[in-house]
Amino acid sequence: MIRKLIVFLQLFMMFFSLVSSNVNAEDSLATLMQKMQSDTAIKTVYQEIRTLELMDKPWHGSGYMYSIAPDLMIREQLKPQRLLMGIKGEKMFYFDPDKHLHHQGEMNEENPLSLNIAVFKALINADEALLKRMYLIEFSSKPERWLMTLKSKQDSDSGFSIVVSGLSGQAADTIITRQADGDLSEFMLQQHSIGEGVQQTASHLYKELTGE
Amino acid sequence: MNWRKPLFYLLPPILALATVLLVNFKTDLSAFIIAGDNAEEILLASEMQSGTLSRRYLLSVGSNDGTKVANTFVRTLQNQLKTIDGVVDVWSPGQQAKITQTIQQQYGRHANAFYSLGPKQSLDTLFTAHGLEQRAVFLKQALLSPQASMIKKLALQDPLLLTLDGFKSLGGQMQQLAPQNTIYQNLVLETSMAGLDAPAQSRIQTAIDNTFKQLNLSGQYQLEMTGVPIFAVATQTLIQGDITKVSIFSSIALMLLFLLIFRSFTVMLQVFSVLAIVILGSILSTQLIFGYVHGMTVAIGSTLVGICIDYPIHAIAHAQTVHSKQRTAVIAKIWPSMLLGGVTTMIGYVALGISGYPGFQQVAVYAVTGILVSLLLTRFVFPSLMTTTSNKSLNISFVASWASFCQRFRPWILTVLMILLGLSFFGLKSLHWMQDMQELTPELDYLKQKDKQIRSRMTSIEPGRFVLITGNNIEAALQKAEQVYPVLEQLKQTDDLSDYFGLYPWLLSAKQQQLNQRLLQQNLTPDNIALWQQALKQQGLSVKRLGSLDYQPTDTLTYSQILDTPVSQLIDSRVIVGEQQTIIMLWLSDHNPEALQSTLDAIEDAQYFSQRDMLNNMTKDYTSRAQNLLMIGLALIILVLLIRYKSLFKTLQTLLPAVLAAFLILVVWSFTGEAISFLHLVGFLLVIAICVDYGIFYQENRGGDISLTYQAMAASMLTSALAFGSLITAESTSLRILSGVVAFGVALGFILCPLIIKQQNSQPNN
Repeated sequence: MIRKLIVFLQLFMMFFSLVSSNVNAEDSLATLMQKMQSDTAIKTVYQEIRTLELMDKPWHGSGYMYSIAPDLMIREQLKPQRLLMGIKGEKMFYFDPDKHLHHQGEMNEENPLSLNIAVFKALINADEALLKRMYLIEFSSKPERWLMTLKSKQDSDSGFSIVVSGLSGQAADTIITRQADGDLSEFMLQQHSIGEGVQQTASHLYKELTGE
Repeated sequence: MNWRKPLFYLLPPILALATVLLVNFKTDLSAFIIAGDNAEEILLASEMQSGTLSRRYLLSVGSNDGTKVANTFVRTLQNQLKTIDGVVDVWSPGQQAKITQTIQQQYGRHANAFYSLGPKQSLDTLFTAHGLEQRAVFLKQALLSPQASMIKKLALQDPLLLTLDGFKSLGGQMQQLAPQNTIYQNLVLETSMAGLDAPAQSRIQTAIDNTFKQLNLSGQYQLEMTGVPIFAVATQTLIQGDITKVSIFSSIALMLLFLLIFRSFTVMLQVFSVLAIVILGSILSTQLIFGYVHGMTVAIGSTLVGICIDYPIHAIAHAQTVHSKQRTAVIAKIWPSMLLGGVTTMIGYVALGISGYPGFQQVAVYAVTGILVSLLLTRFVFPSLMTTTSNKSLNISFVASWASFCQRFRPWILTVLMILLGLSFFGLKSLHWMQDMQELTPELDYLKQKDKQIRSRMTSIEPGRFVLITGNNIEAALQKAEQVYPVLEQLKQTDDLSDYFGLYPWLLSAKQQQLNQRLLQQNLTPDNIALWQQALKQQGLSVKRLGSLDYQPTDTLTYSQILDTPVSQLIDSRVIVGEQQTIIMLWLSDHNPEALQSTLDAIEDAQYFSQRDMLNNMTKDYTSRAQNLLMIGLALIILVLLIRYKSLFKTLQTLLPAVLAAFLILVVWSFTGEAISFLHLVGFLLVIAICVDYGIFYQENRGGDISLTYQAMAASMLTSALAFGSLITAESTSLRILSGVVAFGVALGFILCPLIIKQQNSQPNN
């Protein structure tokens, strides 16, 4: 469970880093990485569509994501029901308000599936070398959009991939995750607001998330 | 030709060579210390010696400034510790990745067998329209949760997610098992060697320390360790240090004493050669009987056989006063006293051997052999060694003065002694027994404190207390455990138990697995399957993939199969499989011991168990046996003396110095408030055994010169008091207890002889 939580949360953190930055159409991976970090609290609205093998119809979800420098990321799902997830440093948190269920775990780099955490760290810290060490990366830039595909370096044929893309000169607006079993998650993102107010909301959510 | 002399001096090197070549020495402390009277205790003792739990270290890394320890540091440390030779695995207590995988892969296939401990009630709730609707809602939520990938794999073989039914209560327990103090990062390290294999564990501990130091060059972090191997190495180090210190100190002190008393290097060489032959002979005979010799047997046994030099001392003291041709006759004359003294001492040591303390069986054989060898050497070899023609008498200054003082003021001193003894009787009421065996090892208190601190950072489980379930085999024990779980659940309802850690859902008896499968199969009716498919449709879930409810009966999942999975890390320390018996331990969180005790008393083969209580009960047993054996030993000694003297008065008179010495020790304990342990009683027994010899020598006075006899007794008393007294330099409380009791006792016994046993002043029988 924790392992999955890690993968899930790191994806959010990764894409969030990406949407927080301003990327030009001509950007390379190197320049993209340089723009990953932000000192400002950012709130992003998201829509999620999941297409799962065991469900007859795609599932829709939506909510907000918050990023506070240097290491706090929170996802607040509002529909179809409220859920909180987040990462702070090396700790992961999950909270289901309906069931009053808190979970907490350490990110474990030894776990092959959580090697992605190192990738997340690489993105946050603009560590291109680490990213390249962990992942097979394909970065392409066209006049209209830029696109980055990440695959597992250890098992590039597993079918697992993360595709991050955005309009030229703008932040990432789409992240599509394809699991090895074929299930798809598609996130559509749009920056909502930044600044002090966002920071206060995020701090409040963090307390709720950790149960403090 | 006098062949005895060269043979005597050749014996020590020959025996030493035989010892090196033939003797199998063991240093495993538990074999010496721990045993049990019943199968459970024996199995637990064996588990403490070499079981999985005994082979594990708990490592706790903290930072010096109170900040959080970096994960990267701990993971690097974990990986490097795994490379140490003898380390089987190192893991973090909260590391569950592999276990989650096992739940999905192994338990998913046995979902129909493991879903409940009360299958009828569970299935009645599930197989209703509402129950199945709720289950479909749960399945959908799970498929959308962060664990979706695992849930999907599980749902494809177990659409009702019955697997999770068994594990739902585990989430809260896992939180309890998770680190309580996040400032520290904890690791569990398992070794392949037995926990009480001190030399091997010492090497591992050094390697752990070195690995940590190499990684912690900045000194930012500190490492603390606990576990059975830590205690084993600390105890071994303590004992080795004591043996070295005591051996050096007592050897030098005894040599100086000999030179002071006998003023002859030759005599010293002869007596110490006897001692060497006695010790080596004892080691070889112990090997012959037991097939091995424990290091502790040599240490304690050698102290006990130290009194064997009393016989050559008496022989020398008497032989030195006569012409060389008369020496054999003189020694032959006093030998019956030595033999009687030897027999009474042997009775004491045999009683010690059957007191139940496992190591003392070897010690008894060791000491009895030593006494026999010493008696025989003194009688048949020693006269041939004394070839010098010079005559000397012993002259230990205070001895003659004390004897003459006693002779002069005997009635007065006896009156004072009687009054003192009478008054002392009232003080005896304050004598009390040691209640806790741990009081015998206060020198390890620092380790116990550290152990408590480290464990409190790791888990809320109460260490050393659990529910013990026994069965003839694993299946019987599991079935019994399944009867106990509902009882523990009831105790949780009454707040007598905050939680318990059973083997379910990791292990379930084959009987329960088969029942679960059968009852589930009965509920998989076409109507229920139709209800389920309807519920799936309502939630937008795939009827095609999830609607068939194909739970085919499977083979039961066995303990040995589980042991081959990462789950073994969680359960192997809670199951002990013996040839005749299997023990299961159910761990407990905070609880009310009395409530558990009384509830479990009603269930056969289940009991509330406290490790400390077990040790204390063993202490009580040893103490009670030591008391009984003391009485039996005393009765036997009286019998032997009665047969010899054919006079009750003379027998009691001979015994009285020993008995009074022992009584006065009790008086001292009553005034100092010292708690009496079975070790005190052991010392008490030794005092009686040794002091009876003094009574016999003084009573029989076979040399005919009471002054000389008392001088010889003084020499042997001084050597005994010095040998035992040197144990006071040890750090082990146990050895210091023995030291105090025996050194004080033998001195008292010696002092009381001329006071109690009236002798006419006689002249040497030249």
